[in-house]
Amino acid sequence: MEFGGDIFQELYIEFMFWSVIVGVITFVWMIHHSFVYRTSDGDLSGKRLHLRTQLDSLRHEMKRAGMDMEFDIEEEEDERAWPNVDNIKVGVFPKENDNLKLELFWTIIPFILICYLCWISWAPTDAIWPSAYELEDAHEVGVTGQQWFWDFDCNGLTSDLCDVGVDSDTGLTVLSLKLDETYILNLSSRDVLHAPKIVQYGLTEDAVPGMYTTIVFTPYETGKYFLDCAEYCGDDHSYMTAIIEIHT
Amino acid sequence: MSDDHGYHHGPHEWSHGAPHNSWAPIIISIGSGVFLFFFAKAFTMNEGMNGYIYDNAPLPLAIAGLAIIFAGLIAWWKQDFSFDGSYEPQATHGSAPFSNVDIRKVGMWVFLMSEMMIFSSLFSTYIRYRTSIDSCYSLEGTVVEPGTACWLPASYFIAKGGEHAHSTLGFMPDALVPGAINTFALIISSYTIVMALKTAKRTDLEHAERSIKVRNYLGATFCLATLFLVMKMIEWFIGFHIGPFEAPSLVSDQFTIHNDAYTYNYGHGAEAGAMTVDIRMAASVFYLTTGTHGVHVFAGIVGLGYMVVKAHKGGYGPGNAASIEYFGLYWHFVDLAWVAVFPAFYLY
Amino acid sequence: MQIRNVWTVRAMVIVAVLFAALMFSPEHEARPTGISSVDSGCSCHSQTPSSEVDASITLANGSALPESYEAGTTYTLFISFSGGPAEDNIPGRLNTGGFNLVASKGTLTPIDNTTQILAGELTHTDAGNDQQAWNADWTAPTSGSAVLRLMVNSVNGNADGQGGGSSGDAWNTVSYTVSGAGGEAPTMKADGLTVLFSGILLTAILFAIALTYVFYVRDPESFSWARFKPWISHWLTSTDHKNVGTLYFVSGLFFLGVGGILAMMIRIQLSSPGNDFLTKDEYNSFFTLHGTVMIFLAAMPLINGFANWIVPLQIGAKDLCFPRLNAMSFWLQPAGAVLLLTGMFSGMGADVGWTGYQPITSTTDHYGATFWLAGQVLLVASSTLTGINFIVTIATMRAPGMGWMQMPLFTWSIIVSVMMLFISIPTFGIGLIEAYLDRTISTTFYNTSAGGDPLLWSHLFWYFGHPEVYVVVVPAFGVISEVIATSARRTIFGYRSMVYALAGIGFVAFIVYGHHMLTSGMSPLYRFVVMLTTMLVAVPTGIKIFNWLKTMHGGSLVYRTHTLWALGFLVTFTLGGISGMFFPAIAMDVHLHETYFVVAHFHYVLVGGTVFGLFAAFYYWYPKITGRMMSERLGILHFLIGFISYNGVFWPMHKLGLLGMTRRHHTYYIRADEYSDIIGTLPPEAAQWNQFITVCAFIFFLSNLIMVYNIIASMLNGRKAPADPWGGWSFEWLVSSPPPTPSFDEIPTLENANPDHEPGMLTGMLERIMTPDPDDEGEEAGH
Repeated sequence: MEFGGDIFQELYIEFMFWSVIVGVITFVWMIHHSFVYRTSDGDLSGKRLHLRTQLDSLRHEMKRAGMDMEFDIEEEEDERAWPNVDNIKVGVFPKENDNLKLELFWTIIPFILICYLCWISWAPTDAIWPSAYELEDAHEVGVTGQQWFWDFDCNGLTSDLCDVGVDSDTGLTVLSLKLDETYILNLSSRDVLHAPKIVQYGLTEDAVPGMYTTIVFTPYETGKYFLDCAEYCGDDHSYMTAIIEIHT
Repeated sequence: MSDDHGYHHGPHEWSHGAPHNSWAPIIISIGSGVFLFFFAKAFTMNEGMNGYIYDNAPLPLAIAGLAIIFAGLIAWWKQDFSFDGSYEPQATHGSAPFSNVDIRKVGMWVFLMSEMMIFSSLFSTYIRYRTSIDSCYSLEGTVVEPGTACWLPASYFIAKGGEHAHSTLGFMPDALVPGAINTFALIISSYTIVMALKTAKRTDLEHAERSIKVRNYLGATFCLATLFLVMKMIEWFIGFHIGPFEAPSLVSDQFTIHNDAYTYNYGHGAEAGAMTVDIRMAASVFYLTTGTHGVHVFAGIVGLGYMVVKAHKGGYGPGNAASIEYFGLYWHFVDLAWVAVFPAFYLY
Repeated sequence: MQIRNVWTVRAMVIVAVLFAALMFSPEHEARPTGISSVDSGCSCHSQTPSSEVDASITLANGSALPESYEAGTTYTLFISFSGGPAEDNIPGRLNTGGFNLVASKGTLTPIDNTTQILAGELTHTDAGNDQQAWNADWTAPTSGSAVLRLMVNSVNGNADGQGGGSSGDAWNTVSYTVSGAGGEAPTMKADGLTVLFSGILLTAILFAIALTYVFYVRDPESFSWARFKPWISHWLTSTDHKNVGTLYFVSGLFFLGVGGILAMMIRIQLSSPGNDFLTKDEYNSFFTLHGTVMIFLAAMPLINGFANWIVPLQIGAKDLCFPRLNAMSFWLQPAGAVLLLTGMFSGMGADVGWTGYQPITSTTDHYGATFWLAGQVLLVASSTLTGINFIVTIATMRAPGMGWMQMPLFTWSIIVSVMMLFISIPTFGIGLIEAYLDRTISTTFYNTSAGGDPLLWSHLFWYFGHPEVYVVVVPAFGVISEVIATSARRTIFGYRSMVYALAGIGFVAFIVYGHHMLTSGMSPLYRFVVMLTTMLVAVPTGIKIFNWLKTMHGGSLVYRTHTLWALGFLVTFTLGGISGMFFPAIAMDVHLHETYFVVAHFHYVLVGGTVFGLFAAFYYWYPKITGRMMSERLGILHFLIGFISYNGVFWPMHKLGLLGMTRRHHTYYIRADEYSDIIGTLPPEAAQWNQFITVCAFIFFLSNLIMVYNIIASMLNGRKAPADPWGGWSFEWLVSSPPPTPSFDEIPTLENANPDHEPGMLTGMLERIMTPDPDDEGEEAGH
C-alpha cells in the first residue's frame, strides 16, 4: 500500500496529472515570454537612467534660478531599442491592454477544470465518511486522547476483533484489529485537542474534549501501523504514539 | 512651516499649519502595553498555601498604564483644542462617490463598521453557547449531577428577579429598574447630543449664550452616560435598597463567573426542588458582552469630558460643529448596540 | 520638533522608570497543570523544581553509578528520591511518588511491576505509584556517552481542596553522564534558549550599529547629543507617512531576522531524527513564535511600510487622512511585540502554535501565553486603525482624474487587503480577549467542563485567519502587477479584470475558512460547500496569473532585480497555489492534514508569494524612497542564491509530507531498529532530506543578508536616482527621489490615454445619494 491509502492514491494521481498540465502551461508560457520579449539593448534603461538623472538635476537648477521650461529626452532613438508600445508616460493612465475573449477563455476553462476536480473528489469523500446504513455491521471502538497517551477501549468486543496490548520492541500501546472488518473509532479527549492519525492509511480526525468525532476504518492490509498525534497538544505531542496492528 | 492665515493651527491639514509630530501615539501605545502587561501579571493565579490566589500587587502598575494612556490622550487633545473649524478636510473632487463629503465623517462610519464586527462576534459567542447549553429551566425536575453546566440567563436574576422577585411597581421586578433607567438614559442622551449639535449650528444666538447651551447639552449627555455606568455598577456589585425598591446585586446573588456550584431553587410546594449547577458560562458571556458595551460608554464619557471643556471655552459654533456630529454618530451606535444587548441579555 | 515643556520630560522619566520596573519584575509563577485527571494529581515539570526534593540514581548494590560503563553490561539501577510532601506519609493519601527516567543511550528494562516503559521512557506503573524508590535494569550501549536524566515527583496525595491535586507537590530533576568505554568526554550541549537570545541580541546590536553609522556618515561633524535629541524625538513623534513607512521597514526587517533565527533553531532541531538540541518546551514555543512573529511583526509591517510610503504618492495625496492615528498604528506594534515575546527567554514563552487552539491555550502552564494573547490584542487594534486610515484615504483623497478604475493596481491591492483585514480582525480580537480572560480572571469561554467549546475559538480564529493570509498576499499581487508592467514596458493586461479578481478574492476569502477545520467533525454538507468554494478561489487567482503572463507579451522586458523576483514569484506562487488545490479534496486532506505538505504549501505562498513580492517591492521602490540606486550585481546574487536555496528548503517538504511526516513534532521517527517493522514511520532517506533542508535553510537565511547589506551600502554609496528610473506611469514617479515633504506642492491631475468614458453607473448613483446638498442648512457655514 502506498502512502495515504488507496483512496488517497487514486485522487492524488488524478490531481497530480492536472497539476502538471497547469504547471507546464504556465511555466512554458512564462519562460517563452521571458526570452522572446526581452529588450534588445539591456543597458539602455541604464543609459536612460543616467540621462534622466542629469535631466532631473538640470530641471532642479533651472527652477532654482527661476527659469521655467518643460523638456524631456528625445524619444526617437530609444524607441527602436526599448519600444514603448503603450506609450507609457508619467502621470498618464495608460492605454487599455485588453482582450475580453481571451480573458473569458481563461476564466471558463479553469472553472470547468475545478468543477471537474470537485466532482471527482465527491465520491471519495463519501467513502471516507460513509452514511449510517452502510455501517450497520461496524464495530465501535473508543479512542480517547489524553496528555500524552492514547487510551483504547474495545467496548467488550471479542479479542479477535479488538485487543489492546503493549508492543515488546518499542513499548508502545498496540490496538489489534481484524482485517476487512469495519470499525467506527469514536474519538474523544480528556483534556485538550488531539488527533489520532493512522499515518499510512491516511486517516485522521480531531479528538475534541466534550464531544465525539469518528473515523471509519476498514483495514485492508495486515501489518503494524504507526499512529501518531496530529493536533498540537503540549509538551509530549511528538511522543504521543501508538501502533495499530492488523491481523487476519 | 507655520502657515498662519490667521487661522488657528489644527491637527488635520499641513497646508493649514498642522504639525507633523505628536507625542500622543507613542505614549498611548506604551500605556496600552503597560496596562495589558500588568493586568495579566495581576490576574494570573499563583499557587499559595491554600490553593490558588491572585497576587494583586501589580494592579497599581496596570492603573499606571491607564494613566499613561490618559496622558497620551491629553497630548492629543492639546493639539486639537485650538481647532476652530476654519477648514474641515473634505474629499477631493476626484473621489467619487465621496466628493465633498467630510473626510472625518467617512472615517467615523468606517470605524463603526469595525465596531459592528466586534459586537457581531460577541453575539456570535452568545448564540453559540445559549443554543447548545441546556437552560437550567429545562433541567428542572430531573436528577442532575451537582456541578452540571447549564444556562441560567441573566434575565433570571434581572427580569424575573431571581429568587427574590421583589416588585414594587407590579409590572416589573425591582431588579430590572437599573436596566430600564439605563435604557432611557442612553436614549435621552442620544437626543441631547443631537440637541447639542443643533444648538451649535444656530446662528440666531450670541456666541457666549450658544456656548453655554452647547456645554449644557453636552454636559447632560455626560451626566446621562455617567448615570448609565453608575447604574450598571449598582446592578452588578452594589445592589440597592431605596424606599420600597430593593434588589440584590448580581454578584451577591451569586451570578458570577467563578460560580460552579450555584444552588438553583425551582418550583413551589410539592414540585419544589433544588439543584447545584455550574452557571459560569452564562455569567462569562453576560459580563463580557455588557462589559464591552460599558467600556464603549466609558470611552464616550472620556470624549464627552473633553467636549464639555471645549464647549465651555467657546470652542463650538456654526463653523465648528462637525466634531459634535462625528461623536454623535459614535454615540448613536453605542445606543443602538444597547438596544440590541438589552433585550438579548437582560430580558430573554 | 523641540521637547516642549518640563511635563513631557517628566512623563518620559516616569515611562522609563516603569520600563525598568518591567525588566526587573520577578519571574512569574505559572498555573500548574499536569496529569490532572488522576485523582490525587501530580505536578509534572510545571513550576520550578523544588530544592527540598533530592533525586538520585545509584546502583542496586548501593554504590554510585560508574564513571564509565562496560559495553553491553546490564546494570541494576536504584532510582530514588527523598524529601518533599511524599515523606509526610499521611495515611490514605495515594500516588505519592512518581518518576520518569530517560537514557540517551542504552536500553532501560523494567524488572518488576512497579515500573514500565512508556514511549521509550522508563516510568512508574499504577502499582508503583506510591513509593519513593524503584529498581530497573539499564543495559549499556557499545559506545558513546550516555546521559541518564531523572525527574521525580514528590506528591502529597491531596485530592481535595481548591486547586485540585497538584497543589503542594514538588518535583526535581537530576542528570548523570556515564561515558563510553574509551572514556570519551561527554559532548558539550548547546542550549537552545541561549543560542536564540544570542542570535537576537546580535541582530539588534548590528541593527543599532548600522543605524548609528548611517546617522554618523550623513553628518559626521554634528555627531553630538544636542543634534541627536531632536533627531530621535522627531522619529519618535513623526506622523508623516514617509517617516512612519520607514519605521515600519526598520521594525519589519528586524523581526524578519528574529523570525528567521527562530526558524533556524527549528531547522537545527529537525536536522536529524531524535535530536535534542531544543527541549520539547523550547521547540513548542519556537514554532509558535516563528509563525506569530513572521506574520504579525514581519510580513504585515513590511506591507504597511510600502502602503504608507507608496499609496499617498500614487493617489496624489499629501499624507494619509489621519496621520496621528497612523503613527499610533505603528507604535502599537513594538508594544505588542514586547508582550508577544514575554517569557521567551525564560523558557515560558507561548507554546500553543500561532493558531492558538483551545483548550490548550487557556490551560498551558507557560505564562507567556497570556502575554502572547495580550500582545496580539494590541496588534488587532493597530490593524483596525490602519484599515480605517487607508480605506478613508483611498476613498476620499485621490487626485483629480483618478476615478476608482484609474487607480494604480498597488493601491487597489492595498484597499482590498485592508478592507479584508479590518473586517476580519475584530473577530479575532474578541476571540483573543475571551482566551485572555479565561487565563486571567477564569471565565469559561473555552473551558470544556463548564460547557465551553474549543471549536468556537477555531471559528473565531479562522474567520480572521483565512482572510489574513489573503491580506498578506494581495499586496504582493499589487506589487507584481506594477513590477511586471513596468519591466515589460506595457500596460497591465486586463486592468478591469485584475480589479474584479482582487475584489472576488477579497469576498470569497471570508467564506472558505472552514477548510482549516475539515477534520474537526464537520457535517458532510458543509464539507462539500467548503470544498467547492475553496477550489473556486483558484479561478480569480488564475486569472491574475494569466494576465501577468499576457502582460509580458509584446513588451520589452528589462531584467532588473525586481523583475527577477517578480518572475520568481510567478513560479513559486503558482506552485504554492497548485499544491493548495490538493487540500480541498477532503479525501486527500485527511492524509495531508497537519503534515509537512501543509508547511510546504503555505511557505510557498507566504514566502514565495508575500516575501518575494516584498523583495521585488524593495528593489523597485528603493530608488524612490532613498534617492539612490541599489547595486544590481548584489541584487542578482541575492536572487540567484535566495531563489535556489528557498526551493531547496521547501520543495522536499512536499515529499516529506506525503510520506507522513507530521508537523509541529519536536522530532520524527525513522523506520529503523525497533521501528523497522512499523509501517507509517518515515523511510531512512527522510533524515537525509531533513538535513538537506536545514543546510538550504541556512543558505537562504544568509542570502537575505546580502539584501540588507545592499540596502545599507546603497544608501551611502549608491548612484543618485532620478525621479523615474524604471519608466513607470503612476504619480510616485512624478516626484523627485526621495520625495520632499509635502510630496506634492500642487496636486497633479491624472490624464487618461483612453478616450472619454462615462463614470460607472454605481458610482453615479452613490454620488447622487451621498453628496451633501449645498442648500442643506448649516452645511455651508464655514466651508
